Amino acid sequence: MLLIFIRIHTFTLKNGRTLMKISKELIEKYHRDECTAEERGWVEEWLFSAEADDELVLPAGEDKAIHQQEIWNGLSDLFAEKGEESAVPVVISQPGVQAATPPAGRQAPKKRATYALWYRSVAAAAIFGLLGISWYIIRSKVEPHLVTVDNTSSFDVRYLDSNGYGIAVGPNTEAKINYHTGFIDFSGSLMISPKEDIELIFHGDKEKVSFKMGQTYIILKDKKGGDKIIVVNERNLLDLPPVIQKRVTTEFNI
Amino acid sequence: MAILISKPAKNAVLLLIFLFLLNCCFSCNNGHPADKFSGTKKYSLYILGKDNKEYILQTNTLDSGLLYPERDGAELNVKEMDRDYIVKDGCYYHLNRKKASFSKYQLKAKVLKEVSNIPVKDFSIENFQWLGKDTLLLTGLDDHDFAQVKYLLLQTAAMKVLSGGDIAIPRPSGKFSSMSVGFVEMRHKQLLMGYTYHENFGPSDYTTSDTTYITTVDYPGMKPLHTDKETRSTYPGGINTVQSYSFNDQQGDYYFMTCPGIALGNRPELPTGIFRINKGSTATDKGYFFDLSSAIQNHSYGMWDLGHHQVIVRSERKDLFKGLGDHYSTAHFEFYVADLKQQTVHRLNLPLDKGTRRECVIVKNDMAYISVNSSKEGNFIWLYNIRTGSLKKGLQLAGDTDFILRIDRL
Repeated sequence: MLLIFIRIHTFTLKNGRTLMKISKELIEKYHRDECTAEERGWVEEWLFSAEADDELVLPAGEDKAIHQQEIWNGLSDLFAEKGEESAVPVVISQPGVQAATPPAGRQAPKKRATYALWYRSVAAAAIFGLLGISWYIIRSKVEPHLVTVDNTSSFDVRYLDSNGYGIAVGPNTEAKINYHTGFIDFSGSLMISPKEDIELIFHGDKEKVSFKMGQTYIILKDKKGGDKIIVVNERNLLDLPPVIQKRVTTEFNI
Repeated sequence: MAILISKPAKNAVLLLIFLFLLNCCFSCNNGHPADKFSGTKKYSLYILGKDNKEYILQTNTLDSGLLYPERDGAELNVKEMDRDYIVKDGCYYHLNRKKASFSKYQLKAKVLKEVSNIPVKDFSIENFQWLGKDTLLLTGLDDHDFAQVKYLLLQTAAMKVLSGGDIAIPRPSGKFSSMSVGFVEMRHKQLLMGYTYHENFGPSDYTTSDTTYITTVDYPGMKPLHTDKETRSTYPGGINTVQSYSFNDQQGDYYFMTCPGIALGNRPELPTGIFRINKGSTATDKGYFFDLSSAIQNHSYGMWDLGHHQVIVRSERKDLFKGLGDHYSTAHFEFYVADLKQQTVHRLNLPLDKGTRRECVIVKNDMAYISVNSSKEGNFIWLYNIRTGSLKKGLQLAGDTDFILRIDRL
């Protein structure tokens, strides 16, 4: 279960006067609930503090955003796994959630079946409620502002998700996406589905482009095409030249 | 006499009457306009709303009136339906690639309902042609590489496949990786298929071979017999479920348009042209070529027969759009009447139109109904009198209407 964190590199977090060492081992300890109070504080501050993200000191040549995206992906996978294995409770939690989960080997005395069922139901509801809160907090604070994607596949589409919009990154597409500023520098093909009305700025384009909630947009830019960008609502796809329209439809399975 | 009919027989008669009425209600309008049972009207309009909702409306007249798609139309499930459909006898036929299903629909009480369907996998429609009242030939390509020409012969009354398979048209080779089939025309148990090849460079960068190919295919054997080539222009026709590019005139001569402009072939240095395949021939008339680009000084897409050797063509205005990014959203299209014999054109005094590819002209007797999406004057059906040349506004589409994307005769 914790193997998903193997890809996390060791790096140092500098936050004000405190230097904290975040490593794969430390995160594993955190999930085994073996951290000291100080270590627990480091991990939780690193996970939940947006300010701390700005102070990350990484080895030369490594991209902070990619590290965070990998960790976030790991967390997402873990929650997905947990959703399927609902009998096993908390993995990432807020203080207090662990208290609702008796440690192994210290099982509570047996109760009458009805009482036990009721107890389990309440406990499960509490755990899932707190899990939901944890998920929301982590999602809103840990999500990286800058994501770099290099989809070298000639066939597959990669999917990214943020609070504001979902992005499908087409084959042979390089994209740098700043979720905070809405700035996107890319070549290739993207499909964007905003969850709220948003404005994005594309590298080489002076004006912001508006995207409406609930709509799906296709954005195309060729490496050799200079700054020429095609932005088209999915509903207008049939206005594109059939050669392009057919390729987009197939690539994104529209 | 009634008392001589037994009760079971009476019930059977009542059941037959009920089934007959039911059949009338659920079958398509078999060529009878405004069939009182089916409720089908004379014309159909496909609307894209400002909020990107899509609607189909039906009406008995295009000459006047005011319609609101959100009030008068059937809102469509856009995951299922799009405007690349075929209309015949009150029914709509559409291939949904994701569902791998070719479906038949009918509009009832402002709801577009699927009547029946045929599973159709790995097929992207390039062209359709009705070979009979309910015999439909679909010509297309595989839906991944767009490199293998395929066909499906369907019986649409029972919605069943009569035959289908690959046609041995040469696949793209060398620098070419995909192709387009632009027209299919039946000539004395032979099919004429016009096509060309594409070279792909990137997500929105491609070009087209300078050659138009016309292969004669044996029917129903579907074996290619011989091929004619044209290099005076390229990108023959286009996907005719979206827009019309060809027709047979009253003498049986076949005219097709080539569209090398950026919106189709992307060989803008070549002219938009009209070719002719004379009656009884399987090759283009080498003595005939109508260079529309020279006449209009722009590229055109879409051609509709007015009769008497006249057609309407729809031309872009390259001075009014920046590129493919605003080609569909900027009102820049003009309509011209072109005389195929005299090789002359004159512009119709209509507002600039928007929407890159649209089925936007219906010709009935001496009247051409032209749908125009004007950014300034709104969305109207305009009436062009072919004899007198007069133009006037007809039916208006208001409310949520952003684009009239197609108009059809039911």
